[in-house]
Amino acid sequence: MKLRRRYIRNMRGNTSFYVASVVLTVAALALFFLFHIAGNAILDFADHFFEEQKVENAHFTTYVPITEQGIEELEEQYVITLEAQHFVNIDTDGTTARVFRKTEKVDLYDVTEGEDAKSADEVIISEGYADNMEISIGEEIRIGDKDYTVTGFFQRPDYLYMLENEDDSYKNISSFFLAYMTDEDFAELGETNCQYLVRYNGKEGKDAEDFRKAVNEQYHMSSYSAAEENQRILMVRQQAQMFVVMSWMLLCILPLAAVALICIVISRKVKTEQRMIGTLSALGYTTGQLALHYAGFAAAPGIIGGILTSVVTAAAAQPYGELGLTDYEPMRISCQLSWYAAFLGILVPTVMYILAALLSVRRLLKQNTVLLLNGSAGEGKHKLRRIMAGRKVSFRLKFAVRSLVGSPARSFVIFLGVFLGGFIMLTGFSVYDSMLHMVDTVQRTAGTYEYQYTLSELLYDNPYGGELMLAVPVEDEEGNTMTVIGTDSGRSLLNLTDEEGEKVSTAEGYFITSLTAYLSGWETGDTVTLYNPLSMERNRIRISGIVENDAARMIYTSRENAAAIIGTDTDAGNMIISEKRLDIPESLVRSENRKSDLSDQVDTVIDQTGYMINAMVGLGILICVSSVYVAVNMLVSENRRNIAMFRVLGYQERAIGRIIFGSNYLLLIPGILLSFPAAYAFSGLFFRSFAEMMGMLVGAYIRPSSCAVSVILTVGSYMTSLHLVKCNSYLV
Amino acid sequence: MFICLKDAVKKYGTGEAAVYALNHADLMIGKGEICVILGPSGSGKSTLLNMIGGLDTLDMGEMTAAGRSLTGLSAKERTLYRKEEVGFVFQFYNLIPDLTVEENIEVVSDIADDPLDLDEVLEALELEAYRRRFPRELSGGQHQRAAIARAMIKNPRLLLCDELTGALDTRSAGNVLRFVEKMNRRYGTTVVIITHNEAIAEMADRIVWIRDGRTVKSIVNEKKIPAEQLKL
Repeated sequence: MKLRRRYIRNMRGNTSFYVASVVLTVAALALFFLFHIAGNAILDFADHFFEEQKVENAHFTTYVPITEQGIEELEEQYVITLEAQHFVNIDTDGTTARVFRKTEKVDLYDVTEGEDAKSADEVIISEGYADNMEISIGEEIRIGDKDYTVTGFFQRPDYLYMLENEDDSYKNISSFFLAYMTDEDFAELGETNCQYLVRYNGKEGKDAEDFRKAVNEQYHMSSYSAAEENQRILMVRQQAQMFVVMSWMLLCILPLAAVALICIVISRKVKTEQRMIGTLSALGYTTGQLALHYAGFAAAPGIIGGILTSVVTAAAAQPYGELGLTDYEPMRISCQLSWYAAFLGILVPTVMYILAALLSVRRLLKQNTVLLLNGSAGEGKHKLRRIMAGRKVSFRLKFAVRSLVGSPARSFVIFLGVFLGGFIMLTGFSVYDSMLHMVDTVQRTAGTYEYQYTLSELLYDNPYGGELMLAVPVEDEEGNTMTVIGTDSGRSLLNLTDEEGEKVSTAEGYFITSLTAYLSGWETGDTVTLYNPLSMERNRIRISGIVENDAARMIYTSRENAAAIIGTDTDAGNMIISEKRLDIPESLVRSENRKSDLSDQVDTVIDQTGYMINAMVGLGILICVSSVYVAVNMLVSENRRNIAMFRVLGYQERAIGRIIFGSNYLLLIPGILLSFPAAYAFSGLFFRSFAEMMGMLVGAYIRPSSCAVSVILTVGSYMTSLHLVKCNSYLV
Repeated sequence: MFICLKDAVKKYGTGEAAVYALNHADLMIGKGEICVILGPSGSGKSTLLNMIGGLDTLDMGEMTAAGRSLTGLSAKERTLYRKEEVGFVFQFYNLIPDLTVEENIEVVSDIADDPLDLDEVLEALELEAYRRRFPRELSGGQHQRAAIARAMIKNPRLLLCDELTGALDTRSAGNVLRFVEKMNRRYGTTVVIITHNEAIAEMADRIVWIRDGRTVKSIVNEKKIPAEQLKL
């Protein structure tokens, strides 16, 4: 049909609308795709890598060594794979090398570059450290008092996030690395440590529980760490899940809102063509032919936007996915846009836009053709368009009010653009603010101590100062690990307070932290079961209250109660907290933490999510500018005659601008105001979704300065798009 | 008769606010005639044209055109009628701005069952030189000639012209009327022109006066003169 020739020419004449619609479509869809692809690529990699490299289900240590025969007997008795892992930590000029003896059944390493160490004085090292320290294959590296030649790099499934100690909060790839060498070289390293790696091959649960009980009875477990609680393993999947959840959260907001917005605009644009539709109808064009014709116009932003989304996603997926894994060992993830996702990315917006156009044409053609020819279809009895008729107020005010309420769809588009832009920017800021605010809150609620020493053995008398407490790791019925802290009641350094701010006494029972309450769903008065992770003994406790602490999964009680869980003396302790640094022998200290370490942990999370937050702020600006530009453009095209007439009547451009656009400034107010609670609610939901992963429950918070910046950016985006439209409107 | 309208009523609004656009109007037009309908603004001329063109429906009365009854036709049937029988020329041309003259005409030939030859129509309306021009590049007269060409390309049996020369200067108006007359002669098309310019009536075979929705007078013009001799 010759009518099709209109498409290209019309697009040229309405370039700004099509560009803005395409940008909006791409911005909204690409972000969903990028997060979704990255998340699934990481999950795929993790599933494959963990399976191939036989990742552990748990590792543990025992007081009595398990012999090779003991391992065989346990493997025969239970459906498990068990292997001893020998390793040694060697400090060299401030850098720690953790050298492993090769295992054959569990936690196998994968040589990712170069070759395995096969000869004497050869070593392979963890890839993240090699990358960070720019160590090349063939270089010599000193471990202890001996130089080794680096023959390759590797990755290990239980060290994809390189934590030196399991309870560290941040990776270390600058002064800590893993290494493998030949068994002969390893044997020369002297005394080594041993832990046991286990894979449960049968049914999880009872079999594993029986195995753990048996090991504890026979070999006396000194520690047990399940993969589900091991951050080195867990964080990979959690990062992936965060991406996937984020993608769905974004899908619920951005593409739906953007598509809805463009649909409204398309409907309005079809309506502005009513004289043309009337003419074509008068010339004998059927409803079907006209619908088809206008569907073509509407399909353009969907098809072009969809194709560009595919192109952008295909080009950006890999670097974007890798960017999200900068803190991990360099995993070989493959981020690819599947053909069906690309197809859906094109199909869905296109269909939505076409439907919007079809419905609009259909609705128009139900009107009298004569009204269409006159361009007055749908204007008849719209009360809002006649608002203030007969009132003695200036025509400018009437014009402004009618412009706002007489075209609710147009006003809604402007409002939605402002709201979405402000909401997305503010959500980005809120993520920063909430985490920083949480650090302050935790510093305030976690007591007045600064140093926390975890001891490697039980202490019955405390000659070092500070407060001696008993920290007992326990598991709940779902296998979640938490710590019971036994402390003397009335102690001041922990400063435990309930949610009303009242002080609580541990002598009165068991008090769970607010994070424990949230993650486990427990409430005051509940009776819950806790297991000693070493002996698997059951303990039933009744929760006496909840203390304010969103950053630790803990249960506070008296030292007597805590001691009863592990069956030790009531005066025993293995943790000391103090306001000042204490002089405790190094051999007695398993780990030393400062309360301010939480800031580092938060910095880590901010580092990991920083690029995502920046992307959200940028996206917010883009969406705000695009949608407002589209809406204001619509305002201009619908007011072409008015603008021309005002010019004829001698109005200056500035005065015309004030009359035509002035009232729409009012839409900024509800748009911006509503973006505050929406962003607050969304970031609250975001943090609640990731509370388990982050190990802390971050309350939503937005700083006044962030609100101010967001308002400035939103208004700036609005003014920019308005300026762009005004430049074009001079051509009217 | 080619067009026959009997006791036609068209009312807008209800109750006391009701306005009768057509109030028991009658009309008869023979095949191949040029009929000029005269009347002041608001007399019901445009409504009458819309009824004949199948753009709107009567509230009461009967109407036949081109051998078919238009009474009680569905929207779809009226569209078919317009497609097969009617060519429209509007006062403000209503050309599609994104398409050239030639393409605007082809928009109609595309859906016509047996369209005329494009070059022939362009030649008849002296539009060959402007065929690749866009509407914005045309004068008022050229615009209207292009609109006539668009209406004529499907060789309709009925050409309806709404205030054909209302937006044109005298010279252009004369020119356009000359072409309408030429189309009438060449293709035997029945032409209905509504206007408030009584001078145009002199080229008509039939002149109808309408006032307040009623046809007050209908005569066969015995003193018909060629369009080129009109004193507009």
